[in-house]
Amino acid sequence: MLYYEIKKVFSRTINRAVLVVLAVVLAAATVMALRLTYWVNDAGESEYGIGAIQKMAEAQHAWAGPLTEERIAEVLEENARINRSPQAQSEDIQQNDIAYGWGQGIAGIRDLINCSFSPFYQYDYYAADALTAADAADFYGNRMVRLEEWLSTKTFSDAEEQYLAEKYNELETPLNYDYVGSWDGFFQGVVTVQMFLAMLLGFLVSGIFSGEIQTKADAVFFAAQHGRGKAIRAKLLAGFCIVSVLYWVVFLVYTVLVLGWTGFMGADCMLQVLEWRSFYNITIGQEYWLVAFGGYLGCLFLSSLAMLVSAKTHSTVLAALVSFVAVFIPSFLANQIDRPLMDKIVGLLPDQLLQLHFLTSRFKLYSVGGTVVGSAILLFVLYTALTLLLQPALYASFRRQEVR
Amino acid sequence: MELTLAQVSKTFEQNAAVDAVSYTMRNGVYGLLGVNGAGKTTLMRMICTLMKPTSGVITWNGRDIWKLDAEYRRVLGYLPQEFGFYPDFTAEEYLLYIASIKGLRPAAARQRVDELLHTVGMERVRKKKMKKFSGGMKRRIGIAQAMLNDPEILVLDEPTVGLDPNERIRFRNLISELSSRRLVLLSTHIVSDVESIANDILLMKDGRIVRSGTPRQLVAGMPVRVWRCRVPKQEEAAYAKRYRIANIKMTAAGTELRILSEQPPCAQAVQEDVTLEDVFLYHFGETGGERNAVL
Amino acid sequence: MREWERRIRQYREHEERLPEVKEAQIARAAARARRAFYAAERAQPNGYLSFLLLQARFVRRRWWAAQFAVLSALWLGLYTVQDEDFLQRGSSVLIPAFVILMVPELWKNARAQSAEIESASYFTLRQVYAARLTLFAAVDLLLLSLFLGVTMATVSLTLWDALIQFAIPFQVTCCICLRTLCCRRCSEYHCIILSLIWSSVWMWIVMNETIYAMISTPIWLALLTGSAAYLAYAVWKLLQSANNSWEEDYLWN
Repeated sequence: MLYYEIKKVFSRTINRAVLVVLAVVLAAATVMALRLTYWVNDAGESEYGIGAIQKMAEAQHAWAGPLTEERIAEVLEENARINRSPQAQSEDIQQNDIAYGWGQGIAGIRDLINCSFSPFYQYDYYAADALTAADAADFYGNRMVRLEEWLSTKTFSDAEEQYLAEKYNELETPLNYDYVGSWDGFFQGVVTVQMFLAMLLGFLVSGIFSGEIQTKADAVFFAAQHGRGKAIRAKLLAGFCIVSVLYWVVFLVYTVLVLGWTGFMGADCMLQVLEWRSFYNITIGQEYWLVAFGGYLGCLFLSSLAMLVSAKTHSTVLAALVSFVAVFIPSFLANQIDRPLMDKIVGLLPDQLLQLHFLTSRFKLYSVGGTVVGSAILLFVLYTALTLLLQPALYASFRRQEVR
Repeated sequence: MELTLAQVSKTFEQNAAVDAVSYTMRNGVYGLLGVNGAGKTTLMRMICTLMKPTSGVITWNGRDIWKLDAEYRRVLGYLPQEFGFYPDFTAEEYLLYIASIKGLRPAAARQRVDELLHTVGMERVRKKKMKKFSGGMKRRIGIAQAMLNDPEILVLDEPTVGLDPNERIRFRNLISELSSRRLVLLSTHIVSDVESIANDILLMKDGRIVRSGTPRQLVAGMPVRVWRCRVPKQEEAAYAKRYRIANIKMTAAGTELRILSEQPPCAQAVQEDVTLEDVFLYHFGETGGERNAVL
Repeated sequence: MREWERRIRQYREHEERLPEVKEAQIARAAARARRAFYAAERAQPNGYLSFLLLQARFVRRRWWAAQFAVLSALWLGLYTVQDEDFLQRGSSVLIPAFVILMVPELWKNARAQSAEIESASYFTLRQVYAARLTLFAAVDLLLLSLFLGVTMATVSLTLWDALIQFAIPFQVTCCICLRTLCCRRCSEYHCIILSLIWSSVWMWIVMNETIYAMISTPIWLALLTGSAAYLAYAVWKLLQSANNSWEEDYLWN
């Protein structure tokens, strides 16, 4: 039964076309992620591609290790030395690019220094240029100072402020540094991949239940021995298998294509090396799994929702529309409506599971029974429960169908 | 009025759905009988200008119907085998809509819709939505829409499918009334639908007209006779292999077979009158030994 | 006696002298007149303009109302937020939605499977589609003109931005809708899915700085003119194929 349910889905030309679209999106996202990194060679020319990524990784890996005050001071001195060079001071852009190229090895650490010495939610690209080696001592201290300054301008509760402060204090320093540029590209592109995956997987499963009614096969289906039991479970399982297999295949292919060239370098660095302000004290590798499973949970929930709509309304079109609306409309609303309550509600919508990397760099907090938690954790708990609840609801809903 | 088909053929890829059909029709009822796949619907669609013949020509009063174009469709009424409707339209709205695309002016359309709703007995439910109608009611509305433009040519493809016996009788009577001053072409594989009302019957097989004539002529022209025999149950299959069986009836005394055969099939055979159904079976039926035969 | 009183008396005297009127005769004359009128109405076919106006009666107004609501929502968002981000996201979702609202009416014949009857009528399926497209084009042109006029007057939006953000997604979604309508193997579901995929792809293109920056003015112009040309082709193809849809259908009959 499971085999035939899956066969029914992929025997439709439009669903095979959806797989092609998925492949195209994967390819485009991979190319976009890989193109984020470029290497400026000795002649001041920009190079793109896998070769460029590997050169950048090698250059930044040379500075890998604990980010102590001494290391920060070294980077600041090196930065100053490059800035003093005739090439950096020249009016000729190409000479400037050559100077820029010399600084690629320290670019990652320089970015962190800029984050530390810029106001909280701003980024001053030239902040490091105004610093001396002596300023290295303030590198880690600035993080807490900037947080406190920012919190004083916002309306977090005392408990929330305390929670954030604790999380910031818990971060073990010095941070371990390595090349994380590929991870940056990966996380930037994975949102697109996951959003398209969620929508397209919703399209694929939207006809599993309504298809019986639309093709007028429901009379035979429900009159069969397993029509109100095993056959419905086979449909649920088919939906689960399609979503699971396709999600993990696409996600892992994307992972390998984007990260494989640098050997997953930087996975054991703390997330703060990539997202300085984040209060989630996890490694980049752990962030990867968070994003992976968050996206999977989001796809499972949205697909289950599409199947429920399909079973209730008998309409494949409506079910597909639900997938689209659930994935794209909240992100559209979130940035436009600046009200705290709306913000809280939108922050718990399922599309947030598809944007977990962005969430980990933002300060979305919820109080649950007096305990403050980050939204990422709450989303996991909420949608695991909802997804599990949807399965028996879907089963019961379709089982009780009448043929009129 | 004269509708002429001259060597009309229609080929889909390598298959000849209609094969060199020639016939002339004037006013009256013409029944087009044949099994599934005979080419009836394809032929009707060509007559209704839904398809162009691969070869041959169809003329109306001497003029090619494709050249006549809208002028020809003005005198045409068509009820397809499977027709849809707009579920949220009421019966009245649906007929007014069809009237608009049949080129009827609004005042004439309203008057005609009123008349036809009365004729087909749907006046009381004129404001009811089509999705709430039974199969028979939808079919009646279908016939009404075919009649909206008071057509000279009425083409009905399997019009009695899904109708109960009362409705079929009512339909036959309606067609008889309508046929006096128009050409009605009616396709079916239910012989009794045309037996009593058709002036001429065309038997269609594999895209060709194999026989045509009045019901009496077709019956008289049967080269075989019809016999009633009672045989033991275990011999039924053997008889089915050798003869065309029109009917099988189980009785306490054995199996009663209605057989088509030139000679008596068994000693106790009793000759019966030939009916049009027997003619249909003779031309389109199978014996039990044929490939794809049911029995 | 006043003049008017004299005239009334004269009229009444005149009336009394008239022979008795037979109501039955009047009724017969009226019936004959009605029959003659209806016979004259039936003898002449309806003109195309009258047919077009009749078609307008059968288009459900809710879709035009919904289109108006979508454009109003887009204008309200643009006016309230005044943000580039909203312009890109909003138009990439709402403009295709505006076009998708035409789909139920355009697909009505295919969904209802009534095309066979309509193809054998005086005004064929091609003319029905042409009439519906004309009606939607006229109303949508009015709605879009109103929308663009009001938006450009109240929101800081250049004509170039309007063309990129509105015209391209509009034209491409129309192309998708019309081409799927021509395709016998396609249903409304295919049309909606492909339109939604297009909407998401478009949103990705315009929201992604890297991709957006890569697209230069000549490419935008090419997209604009290319989609307009293809739309014209799609309309022509739809009208061409409307009456030929039976040619491939080898029915078991």
